[in-house]
Amino acid sequence: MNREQFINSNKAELEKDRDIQQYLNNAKNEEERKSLVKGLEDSLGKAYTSYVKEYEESKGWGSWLLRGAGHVASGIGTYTFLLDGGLGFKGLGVLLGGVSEAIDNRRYEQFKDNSLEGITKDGVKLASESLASTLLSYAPFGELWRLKRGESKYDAAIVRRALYHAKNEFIKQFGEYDADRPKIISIDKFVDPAYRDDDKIIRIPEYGHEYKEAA
Amino acid sequence: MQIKECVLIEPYTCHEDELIVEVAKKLRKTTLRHVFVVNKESHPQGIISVLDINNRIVAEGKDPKTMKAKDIMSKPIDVINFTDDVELVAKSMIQKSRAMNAVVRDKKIVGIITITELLRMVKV
Repeated sequence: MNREQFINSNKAELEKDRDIQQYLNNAKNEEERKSLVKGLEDSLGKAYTSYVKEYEESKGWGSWLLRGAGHVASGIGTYTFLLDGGLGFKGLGVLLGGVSEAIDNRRYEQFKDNSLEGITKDGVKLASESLASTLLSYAPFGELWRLKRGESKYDAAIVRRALYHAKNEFIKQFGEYDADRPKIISIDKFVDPAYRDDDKIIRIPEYGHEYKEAA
Repeated sequence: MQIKECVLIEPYTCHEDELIVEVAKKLRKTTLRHVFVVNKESHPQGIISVLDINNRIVAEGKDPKTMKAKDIMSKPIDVINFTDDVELVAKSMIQKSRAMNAVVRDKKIVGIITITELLRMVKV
């Protein structure tokens, strides 16, 4: 997954976030909304560079091949079990899958952001899922679940942490949302047309005003 | 109902040390007839109307290029807090015949409330 793919596949999820929706829903006009969405994309881009890029680049073929071979062996084992006990394929499949799982887990541990462990609680979730999928892989079709969730559960955990950082970056960029922001009619609505082309109106520093169009 | 629920006009201000000629230029750019005078912390200190410039500078033959906003501003001024009750503020402004007032939040000016907006809110 590259930067663009990361941004495109996760933007919608962050836009649904309650905190971020406050900013988007209260944008004074389409232009401000576009600026907020651009800020969100930038935040996602930064989070990708800091928390996902290296993890993605560290992915190699080793784990993938082992996992693939494990699935094939396990599949053969599952469906030949009733015939002749699986010819040892099932055990081999689980073994290869386990090694692949260990490689993925090690890489995840290497790149995960430890500061968020207490928030995302991914460690417990991943360990539970890994154990459950290994046990279930002995059952018919259980292997399919393991195939589907194999490496992707670590990817998802890395992405979850990156999204947490992206959200914080967005809030840092646009300031804590102030639910009591004043509703303001811009002074531009009171400009005298005869002097419109004079020097620009000098404004005092902004206080996070929420602008409203004059009636 | 509190003032924060009203629609305010963006604060139109000048600094207390700004020269009157600059204040006058600011005033001619808008259809507003008043400008609030603030200090460097954006705390409202006074108000200057178009009439003040005429009566206190032009009519007295003073030099608008040397006089400052703080020299002619009307002070002190009433300020409305962001959390004040709309109805009470409306009554007070009617009693004092005020058309607009500065609204402050943490002492800083955040907008201008007009009597029209207040009456719209209380539906008098």
